Amino acid sequence: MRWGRVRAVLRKELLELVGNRGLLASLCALPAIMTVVPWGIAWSYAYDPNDVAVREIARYYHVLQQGVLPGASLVEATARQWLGLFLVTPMFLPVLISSQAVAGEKEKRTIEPLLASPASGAEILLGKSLAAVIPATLITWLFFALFSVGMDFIARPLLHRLVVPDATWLFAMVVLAPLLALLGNAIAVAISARLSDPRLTQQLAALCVMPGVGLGVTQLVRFSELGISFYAALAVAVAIVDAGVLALAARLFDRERILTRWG
Amino acid sequence: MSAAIELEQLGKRFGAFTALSGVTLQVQEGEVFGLLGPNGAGKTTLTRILCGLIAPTDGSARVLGFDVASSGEALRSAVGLLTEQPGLYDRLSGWENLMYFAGLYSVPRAAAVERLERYLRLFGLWERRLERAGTYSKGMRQKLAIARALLHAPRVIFLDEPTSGLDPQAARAVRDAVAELAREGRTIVLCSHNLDEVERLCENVAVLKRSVLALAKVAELRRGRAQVDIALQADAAPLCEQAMRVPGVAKALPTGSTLTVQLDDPAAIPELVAALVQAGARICAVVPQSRALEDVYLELLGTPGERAS
Repeated sequence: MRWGRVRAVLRKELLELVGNRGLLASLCALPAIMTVVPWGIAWSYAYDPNDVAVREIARYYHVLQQGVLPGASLVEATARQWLGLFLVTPMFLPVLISSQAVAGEKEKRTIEPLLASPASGAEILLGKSLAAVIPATLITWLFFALFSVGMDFIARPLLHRLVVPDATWLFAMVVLAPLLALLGNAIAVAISARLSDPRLTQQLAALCVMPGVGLGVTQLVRFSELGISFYAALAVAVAIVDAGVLALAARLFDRERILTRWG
Repeated sequence: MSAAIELEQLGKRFGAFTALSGVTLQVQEGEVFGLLGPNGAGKTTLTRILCGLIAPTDGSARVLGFDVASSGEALRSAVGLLTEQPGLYDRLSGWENLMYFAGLYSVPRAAAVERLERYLRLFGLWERRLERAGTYSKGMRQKLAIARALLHAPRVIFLDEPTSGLDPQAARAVRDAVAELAREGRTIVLCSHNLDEVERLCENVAVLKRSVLALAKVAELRRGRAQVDIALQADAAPLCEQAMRVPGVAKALPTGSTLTVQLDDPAAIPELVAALVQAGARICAVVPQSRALEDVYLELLGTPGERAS
């Protein structure tokens, strides 16, 4: 493994990303939604925290706390349980970037000079993967920070303390988010190596976020408590799947197949 | 002089489709070698094999001593490839495009900067090096792609249609650059449909149509099956039969007092002249007609219908 080549691929991919305002905007769209929507939900609870309807909702979800207004309890529950849905972000963002990794180069006819270079498949894939995982993780962290500031801004007057980040959120952001980004990237790269249409690659790879969406929606709707131990177990499982999918992607990265098979 | 490229019964199949079969040829170090053939003849497949991009299914090939089937990275480091499409990153500047490949080929930064400046100036791109490649004209893109193929100072360079889409001035600059590279001792394989260009640059050519149809020096190809126009004092028709009796004569066509003779072997011209004189012909002039490479090429490939198949 020559790191100079990995750096060259990484630098080039980041330069292309920075130069593509449309892609940058679409990368920010999902996390922006994932940030603004919980603010809205929390604000609706905090607006009249002792409202009858708010109390009923809190009772239904079993989140009522002793000595705390129902709205405040709901704001805290929303802040904590939004994590499952928010984790879709680091998994989805690399799909947008990595679907261009190989299929996009095929479409733009830039793949042959790249494959004719001495860079190995592993070097190319690593460079491209880092160029997807690093921005995806940074954008996730940026919007997580905004999410935290907004939620605490709403929750603090009611609870007189910060609700996020807590240990679970911190663990998820520091450990799980990069692992999920790696997973989304690996799936997109593996599909990208076999297809020549980046749009189709993106659509297929986007399916990989469905289990994450399912987890998030289930958690939010049921307000089921998934604590740090659950996310730790999830991190181990994702790390194992990451290794498998990356190994598969490396196997699928076959110069001859990429050059001679289209579709 | 040793062989830079050696092919022995090289073949490539994609499933049931045979792209190349039994290709045997040698290219000497420092030579500019022309690879001709119609679309689909296997030129790109052969080039890809020789650049270590795809593996042969039959036979063997060595480039600079590297076995193409087993020395991928070392082989790719030693050769340069200009692909049919320039394949540039439109969002990156010309400079960034080249620096990216300098990194991929592990060219030290100082050397990369020196070479970039040299080639960008040579091809007249220096002033626009910081502009996005997407804003470049077709000719500029082609020149940038050529610079990219040369950046790592490869000893063997494969150029696929290097002057395609270039204006005459730019095409001339590219041809001069190719000649300069040849003078530096680089081995160049030129895939082209531009037969005039091949005639100007190449000493040896191979005509390919899945297998090698012809492999010779350009001059020999043109000389082979030569043609002479013999101007006579009298009507040429009666001398046709006499001319056809000479070994090596393929065809004799009279047109007034001119007898046009096609020969399989140009060495038969003195015999032909002697036979005609012996038959009583009074010869005013014997004018050898040099055939264009295009005529030879089209003759080798057969009719247009056959070529398309």
